[in-house]
Amino acid sequence: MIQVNFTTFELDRDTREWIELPVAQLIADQEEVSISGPHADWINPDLAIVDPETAQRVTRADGAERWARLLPFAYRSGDLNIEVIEVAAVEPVAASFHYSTAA
Amino acid sequence: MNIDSQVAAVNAAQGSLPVERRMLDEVFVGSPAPTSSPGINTTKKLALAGGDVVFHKPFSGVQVANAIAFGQTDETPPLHEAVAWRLAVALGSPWQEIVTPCVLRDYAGEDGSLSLQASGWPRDAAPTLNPTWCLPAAFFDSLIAQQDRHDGNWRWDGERLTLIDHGYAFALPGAILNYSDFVVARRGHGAATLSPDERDALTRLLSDLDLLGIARFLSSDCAQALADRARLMLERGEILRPGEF
Repeated sequence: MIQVNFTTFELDRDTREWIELPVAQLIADQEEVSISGPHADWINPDLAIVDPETAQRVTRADGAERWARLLPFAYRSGDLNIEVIEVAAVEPVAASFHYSTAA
Repeated sequence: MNIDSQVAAVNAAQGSLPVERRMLDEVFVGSPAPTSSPGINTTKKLALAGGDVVFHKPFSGVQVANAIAFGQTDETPPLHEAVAWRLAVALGSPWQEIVTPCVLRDYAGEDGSLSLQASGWPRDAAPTLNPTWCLPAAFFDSLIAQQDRHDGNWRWDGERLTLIDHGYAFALPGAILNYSDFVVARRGHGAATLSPDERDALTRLLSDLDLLGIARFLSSDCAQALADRARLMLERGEILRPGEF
């Protein structure tokens, strides 16, 4: 199971310190993907990502966990901070968008 | 022409606009925002003294395998970020208004590109449906051979569009295309035909052997490919097909 945390940092103009703000959390479990968080709609579950190892376009249909590991390569602008974590299990998410490649 | 001369040419050309002067002259304040994916993303989010937020992508931080997968080199992404902006400036309005400003500047001893943070949010389809934004964005992406214009690589704030992330641009023929959403949208709307202003911009570009100065910023093959695309667009009277580099 792969957990991908998307956050962003905003500058506090008074303290000049960066404030981390949650954007979305993506869970890829075998062939299932769920996305939750205040800006879950910012994350495209149908995004194709060019795999640096193969130079092939990889989508969720090629394997949700493989695809999730590649997400940092899709968002290179620096605006989104992306953390990829391999996890054994995840607590159920109360409200999330759910995507499946199953027919 | 090696990349050092291309970088030197960009350095010599930038700084004439107020936004570029801010980005070149103002000191960085505080530390960069933390990053939790340092192995993949070496981009640093920084604040300038005047309040602008910027992103620094060092030449040394290019993810080499990813760049090569796109047909780029281990050095071209930060350079191409800056050259896309230089081309937008050379072409003028409306393209200058929709591309995020970018300069080459060092941070903490590392040379790289420095891009201005755009206002708005990703993944809003509104600009793909509005000709005011879709037409110039598609023209620009077609001309620069943008390889990865997915819906995370623009910002829409409800009033204006900003194109971001031009590291994978100025592709050569045969290079991979991942996304070109505005080109697809414009052609899908049946609006591929060039406007008089677009024809004029291409004519101006091609009438200068130096491509309005852009040829000095690119490798000779990338500059030739840029000229070839401009010429093909003029011959056909329309923007190119997605992935037609």
